[in-house]
Amino acid sequence: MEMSIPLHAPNVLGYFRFLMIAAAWPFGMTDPQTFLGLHLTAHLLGVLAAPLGSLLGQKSFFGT
Amino acid sequence: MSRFQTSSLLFIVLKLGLEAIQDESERMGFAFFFASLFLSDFVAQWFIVYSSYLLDEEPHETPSPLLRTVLILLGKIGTPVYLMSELYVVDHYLAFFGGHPLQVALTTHKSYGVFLQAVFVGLVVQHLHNVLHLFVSAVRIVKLDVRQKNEENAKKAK
Repeated sequence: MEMSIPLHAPNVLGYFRFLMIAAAWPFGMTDPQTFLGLHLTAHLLGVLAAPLGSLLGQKSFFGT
Repeated sequence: MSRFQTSSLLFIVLKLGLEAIQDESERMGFAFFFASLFLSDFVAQWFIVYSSYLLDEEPHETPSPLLRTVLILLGKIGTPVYLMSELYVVDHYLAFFGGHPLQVALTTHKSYGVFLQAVFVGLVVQHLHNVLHLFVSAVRIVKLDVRQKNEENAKKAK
């Protein structure tokens, strides 16, 4: 059975990235370590998304 | 999502700069610079996706072989260039937290000078890529519009 596109692994990683970036905001002005830590983790998930999409055959015209 | 992440970082740096920089002209210059980075990134990405959907073509497709080659080459180094560009903004972000262990560790590292040059080059290449993509995408959309209008006019003339 074909998995629906919103549930493709790169998209699910995207939801986590969104949550991490949103969670980083309150720390942006006061706590650079937490802010950058969450940002870096979101970046790493972003880097993982494309190869994971290719591996699982979940790639579209614009990437994932 | 990367655009959202970049914008989020740029806005935080912009806000920190507006609050921390006392000199009016320096604050204006800072705001203009970071607002321009945001616009270049956001508008270019929007145009790339919009023109590609509209024309059903890859974003680097253009009648000019030179531009096409440059866009393909820049696309191949896109991820490291994007990360360098982000690190340039991170360096500015940390500059507002003078004395923080992260800021001290970064600025006192023996390779900090090389790092600064590398991330600046990353920033310049990233935004040149954006502007080039924006130009190519805008031309693609205008050409499509002209073609459609010419076809409509030809039909009316019949």
